Amino acid sequence: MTLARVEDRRLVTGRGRFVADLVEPGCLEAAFVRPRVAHADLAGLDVTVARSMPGVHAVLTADDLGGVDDVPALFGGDDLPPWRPLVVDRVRHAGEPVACVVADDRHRAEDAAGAVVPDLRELPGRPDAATALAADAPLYDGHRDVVLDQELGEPVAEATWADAAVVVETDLRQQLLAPTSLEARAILVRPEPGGLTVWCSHQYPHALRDGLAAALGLDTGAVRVVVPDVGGAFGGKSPTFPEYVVVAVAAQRLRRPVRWVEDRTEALWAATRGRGQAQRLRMAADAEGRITAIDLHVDAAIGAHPVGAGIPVQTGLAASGAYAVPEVHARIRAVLTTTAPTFAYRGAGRPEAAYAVERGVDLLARRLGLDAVELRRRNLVRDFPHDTPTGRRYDSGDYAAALDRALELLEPDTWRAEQARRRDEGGRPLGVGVACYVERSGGEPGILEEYAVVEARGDGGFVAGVGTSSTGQSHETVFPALVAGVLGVAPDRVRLVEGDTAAVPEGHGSFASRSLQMGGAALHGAAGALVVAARERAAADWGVDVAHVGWDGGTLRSGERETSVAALAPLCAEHRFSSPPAFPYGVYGAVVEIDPELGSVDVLRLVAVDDYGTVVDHGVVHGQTLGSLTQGLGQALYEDVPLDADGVPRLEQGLLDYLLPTAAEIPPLRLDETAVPAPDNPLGAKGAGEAGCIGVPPAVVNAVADALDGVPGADPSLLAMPLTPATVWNALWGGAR
Amino acid sequence: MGWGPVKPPPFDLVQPGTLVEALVALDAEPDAAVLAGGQSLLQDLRWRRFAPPLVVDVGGVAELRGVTVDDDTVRLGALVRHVDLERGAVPGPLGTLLAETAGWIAHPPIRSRGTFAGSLAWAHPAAEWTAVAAALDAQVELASRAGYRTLPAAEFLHGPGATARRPGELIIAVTLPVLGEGTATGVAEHRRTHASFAHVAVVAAVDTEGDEVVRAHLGVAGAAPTARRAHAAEEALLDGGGPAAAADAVGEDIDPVEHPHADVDYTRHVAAVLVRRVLERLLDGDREAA
Ligand SMILES: Cc1cc2nc3c(=O)[nH]c(=O)nc-3n(C[C@H](O)[C@H](O)[C@H](O)COP(=O)(O)OP(=O)(O)OC[C@H]3O[C@@H](n4cnc5c(N)ncnc54)[C@H](O)[C@@H]3O)c2cc1C
Repeated sequence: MTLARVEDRRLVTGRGRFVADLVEPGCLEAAFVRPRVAHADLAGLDVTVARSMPGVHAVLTADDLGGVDDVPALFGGDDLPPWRPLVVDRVRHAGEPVACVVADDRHRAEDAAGAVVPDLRELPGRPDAATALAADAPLYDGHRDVVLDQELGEPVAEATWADAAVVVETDLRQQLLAPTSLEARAILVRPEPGGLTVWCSHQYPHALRDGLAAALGLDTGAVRVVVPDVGGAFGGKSPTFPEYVVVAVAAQRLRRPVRWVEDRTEALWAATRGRGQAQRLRMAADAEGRITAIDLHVDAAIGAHPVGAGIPVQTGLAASGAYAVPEVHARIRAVLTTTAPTFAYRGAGRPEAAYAVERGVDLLARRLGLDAVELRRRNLVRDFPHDTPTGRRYDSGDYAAALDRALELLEPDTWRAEQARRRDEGGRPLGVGVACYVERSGGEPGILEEYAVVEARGDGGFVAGVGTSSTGQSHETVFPALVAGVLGVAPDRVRLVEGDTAAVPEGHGSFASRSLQMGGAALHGAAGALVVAARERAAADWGVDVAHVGWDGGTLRSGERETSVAALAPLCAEHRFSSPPAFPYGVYGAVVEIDPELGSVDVLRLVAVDDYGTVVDHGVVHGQTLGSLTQGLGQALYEDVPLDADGVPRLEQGLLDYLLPTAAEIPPLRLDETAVPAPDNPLGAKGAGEAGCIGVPPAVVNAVADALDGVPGADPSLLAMPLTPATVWNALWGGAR
Repeated sequence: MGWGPVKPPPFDLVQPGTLVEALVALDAEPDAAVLAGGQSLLQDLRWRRFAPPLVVDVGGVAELRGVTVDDDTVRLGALVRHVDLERGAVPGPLGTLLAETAGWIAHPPIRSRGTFAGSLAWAHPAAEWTAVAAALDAQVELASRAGYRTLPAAEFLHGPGATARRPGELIIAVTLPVLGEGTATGVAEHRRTHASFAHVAVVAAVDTEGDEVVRAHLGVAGAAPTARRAHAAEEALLDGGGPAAAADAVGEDIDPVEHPHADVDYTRHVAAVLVRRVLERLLDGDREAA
């Protein structure tokens, strides 16, 4: 089934309502003062001129935030350094806000922000985990720089390494990425008597409600968070950011609505990053190509505030890949660095794992002289549920079927023949790469539940409320149709309510590919519960046994008696769905050609076969695959936040320096799905949001490495993402030119 | 006043209707900025790279419009846009070169506003037009209340974002030499995505008699603080060395700076490859895409 997207007419005709579009009488605009140093003592901050400038209502600094609590930690470790909403005495990443100007409009706010004079004494920075681990003093006095050091699985036995036919070992790098949603962060706060109404471009409104309430010392009931249209999030919009706390404080103090709309420059400098791992991978296999051990050591650069310190644990949890491997061990360290916080970015820890494992499988295959696809096939998990050594229970699948389908679409034999021809007769190096992945969708304990409520109204309509919050995932299209399907009514009789904490009392938002899997299942349950409640009510009214009351598209019948559910209104039913996570999986393939002189990579074909369990709307899922695989290409080939020696981003020209793939970069695609239902989900659904970010990078890099294999003197180990032409050129010449 | 997507510092705006009015306005405020296509100026203002007290929008100045062709030269008025050249506003081999070059600049919305003269004034080291200007010894016509002067591109273009333009001066036109009917022209460019700036761009215009190269114009952008005419490479070509010798020699013409994603050696190598490829295309009829 593919439904026409209900939200498209509004969004593509410019009638979407984003935070920046809201008209709130008397609203002031905020701008932040963001020094472009990575690490410096803030010895003073002169705001006198700024405060006196025309149109300026307030210039807030850390001194004004004495009564405000720390920015709430999403990640609950012990001994975490405090995160103050504005810098108190030390800037720890470029763009960290030291002051906030609130003015009549953004122009004046920026004029005044430019007049704030911070007295900065620069300190050496720590752009990456290795530099941070070597630093002599901690980044925060009295707090450890390694905020998380976790082992998953049992250490691999020495004998396993010793007995293996081959052991491969490699260092891999996950560059820092900027999530770059079309709309960056945005918030508008209106003070209310005793509380706040907050409009925010957010993924997790209930958490923002709780976070703001905690920081400001309010009851959660006093804060209402409303999420209007959102121009993408990709993981970067779940936290309670310091800017949000400051804007809320400003609104309270000034008794005026205050808005902050992050611009692209701010986002590239100071918003959360994704990935950012240094990995050391060790893998062993026996002579038949059975993988016997995987050991993955991750040092994650988590930036100056450990809001995302839990993300790299995902990498460890996923360290088995799609394979049945007897011994798997991961050690994950999250290290404070002088960069903007690293947080979830589409895939959030799984792309990092898939990349390491799939690069490792190719290295094993080369060493064993085995075909890399064959080696994968021999190791795929075949029996479900499957418990991995690092603590995952893979729920269901037919991984080999996905591999077969991917090979049909990839046609590796044809390309291999062409590759051989070119290696003999000359021609641009050509390579074929494959990658398998298994990821986790739905979330982790604590958010593996969702709330929904369905109400029958007196006008014959239904209102469906759910705790997810769309940031572009077509909820308005899919969810009413889903509820209507259970009720047996036309979809246009069902109105969806979400993204408003006043309308939906609880919820966990939209991330971890959880909307359909968790929210859809909750709605499914609530709609079913409404039918039951209606039948019970009719049975009581009529004095008959509920078993004799039938439901037919909103009409209740028992013998001669009949009533519309509207006549029973108000009637509503809630449902709280909870389940273990689900494990989507798939196989990606890439064929690449390299310009041997310039190092440019041309992707000639990209194949994706994903299994998202039962698919509810093919159009929506197809869109998710396209979007995520494009971002996967971005990581493989283009995107990177280059840093100077201290950790200051080198992005002076904004998006002219941070290269995003555009429509012109999308290669010829061959996409398909398999659909093995999720056993723990009433819809059979698994999450479908992140696959391409996970599958594409290893497939493309494996293909480039394969192409280099045929070039005398080339050294594929010099490949690192993004595969810029200069990087590929350097690897082509084995670093020798 | 509400929030707007563009957040420049405060400035006054004048929109003169004649050249004289424009020059008077520029004369009155030495720190004034000229607004032509706005495709770079607005971005710089939004980023608050500088804060001109006055912006002089020359879009309404009729004297700056149009292309004038005579026997030896083609004069591009300062308001001639990328898209005009892309669509063939200039005849002959020069027009072919300009049209091909324009197609490499940014993407269509930017080409429909950005101007040739504005590109030279902005002086981005990798701007395609600066390579054309350097290769062909373009003459940049500057006017101010004090009078007129003309500078060759090599003297006008100084470095990233820097030119010989003095306060109060306006580029009114850029003049290029007409290329002979037999001149072969071409562009070779290397960049990372379709919409990104060039890493290196090479433009070439070559005349041959038999197998011999008798005239050569080579310009390289992206491999030095500003675009340069590749004299050493041209020399190698005129000496009969062919594309390979020109590629070897271009190293003497350039002076790359380090990029976050490309070191100096790589950039040197790219410039040499592009020089060779574009010349092979022009001289050997080798049509391999550069
Ligand atoms: C996303 C993007 C991608 C781009 N990609 C490319 C690319 O690939 N290649 C490329 O070459 N360019 C690129 N550009 C720049 C574009 O070509 C600009 O149009 C050009 O650089 C400036 O021309 P303009 O007419 O828009 O000048 P404006 O933006 O109006 O002005 C630019 C500067 O020149 C000055 N100026 C303009 N005209 C005159 C004049 N007549 N006399 C004196 N001073 C003047 C202005 O004061 C200002 O300082 C890109 C721009 C963007 C936004």
